[in-house]
Amino acid sequence: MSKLFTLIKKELREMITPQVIIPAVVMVLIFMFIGNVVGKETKKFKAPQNIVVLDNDGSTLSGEAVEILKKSNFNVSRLAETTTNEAIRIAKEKNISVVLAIPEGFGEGIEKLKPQKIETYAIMKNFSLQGNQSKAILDASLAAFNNFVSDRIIASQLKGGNPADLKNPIQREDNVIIGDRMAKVNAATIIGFVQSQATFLPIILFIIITLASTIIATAIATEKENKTLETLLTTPVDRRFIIMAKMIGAGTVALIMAGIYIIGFGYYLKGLTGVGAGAGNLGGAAEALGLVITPGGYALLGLTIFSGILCALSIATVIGSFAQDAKGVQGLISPLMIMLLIPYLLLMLIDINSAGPALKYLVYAIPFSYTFLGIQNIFLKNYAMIFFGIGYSLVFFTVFVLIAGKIFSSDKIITLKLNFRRKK
Amino acid sequence: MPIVLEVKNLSKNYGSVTAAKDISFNVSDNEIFALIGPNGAGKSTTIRMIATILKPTSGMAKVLEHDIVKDAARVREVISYLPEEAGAYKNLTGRQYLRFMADLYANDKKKAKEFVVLGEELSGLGKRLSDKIGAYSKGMTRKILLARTLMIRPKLAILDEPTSGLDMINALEVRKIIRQFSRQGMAVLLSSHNMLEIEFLSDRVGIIDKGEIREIGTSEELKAKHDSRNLEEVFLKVTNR
Repeated sequence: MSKLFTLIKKELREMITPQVIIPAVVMVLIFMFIGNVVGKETKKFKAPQNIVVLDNDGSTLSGEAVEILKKSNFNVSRLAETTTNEAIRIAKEKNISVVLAIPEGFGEGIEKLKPQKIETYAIMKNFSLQGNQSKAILDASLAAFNNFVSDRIIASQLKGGNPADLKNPIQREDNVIIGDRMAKVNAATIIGFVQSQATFLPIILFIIITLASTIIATAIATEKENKTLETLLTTPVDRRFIIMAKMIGAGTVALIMAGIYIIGFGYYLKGLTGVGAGAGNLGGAAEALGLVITPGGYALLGLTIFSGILCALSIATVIGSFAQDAKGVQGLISPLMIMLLIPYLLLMLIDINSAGPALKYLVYAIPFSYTFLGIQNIFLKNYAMIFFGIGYSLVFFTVFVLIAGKIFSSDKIITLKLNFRRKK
Repeated sequence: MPIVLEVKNLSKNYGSVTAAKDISFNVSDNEIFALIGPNGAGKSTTIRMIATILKPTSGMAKVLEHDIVKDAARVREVISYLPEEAGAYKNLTGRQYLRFMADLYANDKKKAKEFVVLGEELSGLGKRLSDKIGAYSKGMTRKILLARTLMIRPKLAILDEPTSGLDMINALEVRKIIRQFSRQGMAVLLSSHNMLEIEFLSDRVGIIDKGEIREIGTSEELKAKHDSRNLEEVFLKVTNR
């Protein structure tokens, strides 16, 4: 066993290099920076929004409407008896992006139940998503305005009734059922909660599996290229140890890198949403629906992920054996990448159970599908699928480890050659 | 002298291509046996079979009575192989590399330490042993690899072009070390393109061409037999070039 540890130590020294760690750390810093910047801007957006209201009507109704805007999280700069151009000039001066102009006769027209126009001016400075802010402010201010005015009209006609009851005579009470559990909650909220977790994990998984596979295949190919493998094969070391050490080394590096990415992505999401990655504030609804991962659930999720990583490592070991050099790995590893991409993209976009039989069987034939579906299956308590996935991945792992063992214990490891690069 | 390496009718085919055919020779204790031949003659294939990397198609070879196929694990305990144009782990320092290789051969820490001390001395790299191998020149890399090969004091050292990449002074030094180790009880199987090196180092020479051994003997015997002034001439006559 001490020889195995010697080999693992060597693999880690070879695999954990500044060239591997520095880009990952830089990526995390970029994630943190973007999350921080976007988060700050989002906070600004949530603060009271500045708006210029040109009230050339001066009626009681227009005055009350402006007061309603102030109560609806708007900082209103009210102007009267001036031109629209002057109002726009003042808005530009104060760096305000929205102007509402209430024309003369507005209040009188409303009293006569005639629809009235309010002119809106959006001062655009760029076309980024944040440039869309002025539209959002306009929509929100006009909605507040309309609501107030319609409430006033309904109240005046209804005498004693509640305008809100008339506008929404049907009240909804949402319930969601998962399996045999039910909770009073909106379906969109539950989907949002599950997706926040079920989307985040596959991204990290995709990174881990891709990294681990590339690292191990490159490690084997580099050893072949440098002839260090030839030396290693003539030493008194069990050849299975050579494969195991590479798998353990690549798996460890992939987990470290995944940890770094999780931290970075967590900061990014925190910056964007103001909450930690995957966090949800659903009170008892999630718990009532069983959408809480128990320690047993975490253990199963861990096993699902672990079996998926093992499966990828074993396939990549065989692939690495075919490569003549490190550059050749890029081409050879593409079938594995396709095996990862198909379930990764499809499961994010569609419900695979409602897909056609050919597509469904294709996805379920790929062992990584069960890894990507892991968290959903745990939420849905689909234990049969979870255990089948773990077993299926381990069968793949065993088959490919046996193939790798066969290759390493024969001279195939030296003589096998596949090169897709064009010969000069 | 006891025979360390016995090779009998060793052959290797890659599909329809015969890389080595009926190769037979022996190497005794303290002896340096050199295989010479043009590129593609079958030297490296023969050496790789004896080093337990390639499996022979037919024939047999034994190292200290251990069969290279049936008892490969035991063979690996007593041989040390230096491939031609081999590299080393670039992210390890020279010292870490020697320690890594020593740990693979030694059964205890004391033995491993002895190997490393000898390896450090043989490499002659001094303070540069603390540098990463990625920063070494081709010559320095070759020296650390040769030190690694010899530090474990194998019963049979298999050296493919041992001085390739070394300047004249370092090559001379290396040849001296190989000879010294051989005299201390190590058999050596080497291949080289450098006829001067072969004449200086080897006790016996095997000329290989198109996968077959054409001649075996000491340099003097071969020169006398083919009425030649040096091994180069012998080589050309034997291979009809």
